Amino acid sequence: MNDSSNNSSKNASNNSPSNLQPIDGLVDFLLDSDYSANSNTSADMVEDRHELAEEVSEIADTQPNPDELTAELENTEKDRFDCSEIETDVEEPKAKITLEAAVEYEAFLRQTIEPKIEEYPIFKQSDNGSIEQYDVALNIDTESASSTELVDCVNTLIPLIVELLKYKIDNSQESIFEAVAPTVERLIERRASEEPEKMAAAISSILPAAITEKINLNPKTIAKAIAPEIALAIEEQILLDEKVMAQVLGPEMGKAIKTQIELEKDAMVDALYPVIGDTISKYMVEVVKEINSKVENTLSPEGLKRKFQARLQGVSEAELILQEAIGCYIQAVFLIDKNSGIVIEKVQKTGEQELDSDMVAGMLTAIRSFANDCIVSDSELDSIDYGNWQIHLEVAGYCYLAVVVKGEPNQDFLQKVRSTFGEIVLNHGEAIEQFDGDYETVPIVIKAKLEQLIEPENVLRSKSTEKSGSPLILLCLLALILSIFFVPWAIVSYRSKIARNIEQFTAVQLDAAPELSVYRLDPKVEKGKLIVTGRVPSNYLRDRATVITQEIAQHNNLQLDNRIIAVDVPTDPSLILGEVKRLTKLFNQHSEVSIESNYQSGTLSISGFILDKFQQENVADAFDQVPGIDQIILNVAEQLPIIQESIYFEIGSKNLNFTNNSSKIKSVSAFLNRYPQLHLKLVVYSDGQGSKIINQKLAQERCSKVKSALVAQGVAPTRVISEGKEYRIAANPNLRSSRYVGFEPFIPTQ
Amino acid sequence: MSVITQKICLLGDFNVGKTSLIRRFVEDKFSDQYLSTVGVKVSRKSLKVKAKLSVHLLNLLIWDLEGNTKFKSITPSYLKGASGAIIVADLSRTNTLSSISQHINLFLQINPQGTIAIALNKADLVPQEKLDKLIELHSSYNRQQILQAYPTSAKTGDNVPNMFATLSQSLV
Repeated sequence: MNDSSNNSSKNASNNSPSNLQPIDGLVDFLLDSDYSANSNTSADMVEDRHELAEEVSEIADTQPNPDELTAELENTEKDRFDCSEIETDVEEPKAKITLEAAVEYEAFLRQTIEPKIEEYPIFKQSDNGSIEQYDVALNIDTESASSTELVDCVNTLIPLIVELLKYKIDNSQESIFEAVAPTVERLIERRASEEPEKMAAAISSILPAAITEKINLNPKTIAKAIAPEIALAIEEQILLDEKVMAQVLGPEMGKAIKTQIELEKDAMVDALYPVIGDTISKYMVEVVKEINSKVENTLSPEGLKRKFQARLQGVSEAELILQEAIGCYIQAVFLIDKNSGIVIEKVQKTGEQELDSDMVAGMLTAIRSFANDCIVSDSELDSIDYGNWQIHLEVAGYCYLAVVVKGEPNQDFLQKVRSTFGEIVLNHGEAIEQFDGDYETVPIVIKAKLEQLIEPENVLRSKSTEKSGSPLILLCLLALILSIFFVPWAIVSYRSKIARNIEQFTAVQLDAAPELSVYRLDPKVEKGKLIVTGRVPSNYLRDRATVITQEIAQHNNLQLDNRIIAVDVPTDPSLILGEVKRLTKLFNQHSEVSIESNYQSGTLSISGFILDKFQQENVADAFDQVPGIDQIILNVAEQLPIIQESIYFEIGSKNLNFTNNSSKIKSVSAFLNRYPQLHLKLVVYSDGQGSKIINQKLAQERCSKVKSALVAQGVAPTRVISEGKEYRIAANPNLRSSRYVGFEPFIPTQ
Repeated sequence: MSVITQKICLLGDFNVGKTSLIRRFVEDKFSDQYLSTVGVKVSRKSLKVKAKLSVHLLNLLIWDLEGNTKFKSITPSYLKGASGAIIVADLSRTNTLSSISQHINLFLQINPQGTIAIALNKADLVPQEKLDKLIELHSSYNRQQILQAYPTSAKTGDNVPNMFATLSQSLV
């Protein structure tokens, strides 16, 4: 379209302005979407139409020969049929077009303008304007014509229309727009359906610019228009060439994700969560399983044993796991020529599946060469591991030793291998160097050496695996376990034995103390303490027990925990009574003591005579010691009562005058009854007259008389004693009253 | 009867038939399938070889080396200690024939005392008249260590045991 407008503008310079401007105007008109025309009244339109008709007729009049025009038209008919060539076609027949239009108008005028009056109402009634009417007329005219002719007609009409538009544009833009619009659509539609490629070509050139312009003017509408198809478009493109899409989008994906994370982190998290969640959970399950198995393994007896062993041997647990898994066994030892890979000497375990020494040696040599050449130069391959097996390599100048071991060889063995190999190289280096594949040149000693290496070691190893391997370790472990259990047990039992001994000793010691033997005291040794529990009736006994146990505790470096309680035990009354009696009796043995005790419910009352004051205190103290006696009432006299009565006698008489003395005898008898603990001593006083013998005799006789009299009164004869032959000279001997018998009470000795 | 072990190597360009020759010699088998040897393959064949005074049991360790290509030459250390070598070339590919001397040099550089046999392999693929010409062209190596050039065919087995036997004989 753009091209056509350009072309038409080119034409403008060549042709008359009447031809140029209409096309430009049409194009402008078509492109100008914002164009809005003022609506005109139908009356105006009619007026306009008249003017138009007049003008057209004028134009028609200026055209010379209609026949010429037709001929021209026929010549260019084919070219003009092609719409896409409008641009070129338009140039040449500019004048013809107007002429052609005039021809058409001849017919038109004939039909429409001549019967002016009749046709007029038709125009007037038409809403769409005169052009439509004109179309109708045309259509009627061309109904019978072929499609090419029709198109031709349409094509030929374009300049005319443009011209019309040009004239009418100022006055009735709306009507022109309305008139042109359907035609243009139809035109484009038809062209598009007939020759899409050319239409496409024509439109394509302005499309980018048009879209850009549209986007600038109203981006939203473009967005709206394209939006629903973008997904499809992408899909289509992916179908066509998925790599391109990936390449285009790829570099931006990272940035896009990053930006989105920056903008809305949570949304990204939500979006990825299901995937990441699954992935993580899957991973976690695996990790947990692994950890679980490890933990299970760790906590199993094997695991613990391994841990212990690892600590003992100072190696990693993993190494031990490996060793556990494989054990160690020497399959073969090969002495191999370093260059050729030919086996110089070999020793294999018999009875086993023998290794093909030549092949092994060859391949080993190849691997060695490869490793030395391609991986690391100036260093040696020292072992090849495959599964449980290991080939240990010791390399010397011209040969190397390969030891095929199942499991992990220990350091001792490797040391032995090295020393043996060293010996071989040292002693037989020359023979090895000269070795050319002939086994006869190989010293037999080498084989012996290698056999030494394999045989004793194997035996040793098997022994060691039997003895030092599991059983020794097992025994050690057992011993350890036993010691773990038994050592504390032994300590505990030893300690408890000592404790029992101490307890027993304490019990014996407590029992040995007579005052404590009756009481049950339990000594117990616990946590460095000697605990003594029990009850004793007094603090005294408690202290006694404390003294004894304290000594034992100190001796055994124990702390004493004295839990003996001194309780106030109600003592057996009979025991108290016995004690009281015993003490009473004991004290009564003293010549100056004559007491009676009476114990009743905790109270002891003591009555009688204690002539010595010191003795009195003793008595009180002694009874105070007796348990169960709460109170002592001491009611004792310090002096013996005196009997005032005396029985007098006549001079030289031994007879007792009963009449005078019966009351005195009775009162003495009553005195003795009152003090049953006292005895009486009869004391004879004399006036000192006469001989001693007579007085002695008299004294004797007088005493017996008084005694008899007292006995006659019911006094026990034992309570009355006389001094016998002894007598005392009275203070006043001359008096009658100087001859008498006096009474002296005394405390009898028991 | 003494036992002697010797190492020999087969070297040559790739796909000349080194592995096939060994297979024919050791197992007496042939396969058309091409399997490229990676690194080294060691095979063994025991032969009875008559020497001047006695008969030896020769344990032949045959190192089948990875073929030489433009990009990868033969690892020289594989050749170490070899008493003999068979340089193999493909009669149907002239460039393999022309690299024979290069292989000879390589081998003798490492094993100056080594014995060399040349196998002009795939003789079955070449017409007789052309074959004679080619043999004539590639037999004239002026080295005392070189025994002979054999037109061999691993496929038919032509000359294969013969070549190995001759080489073995020279190793004792």
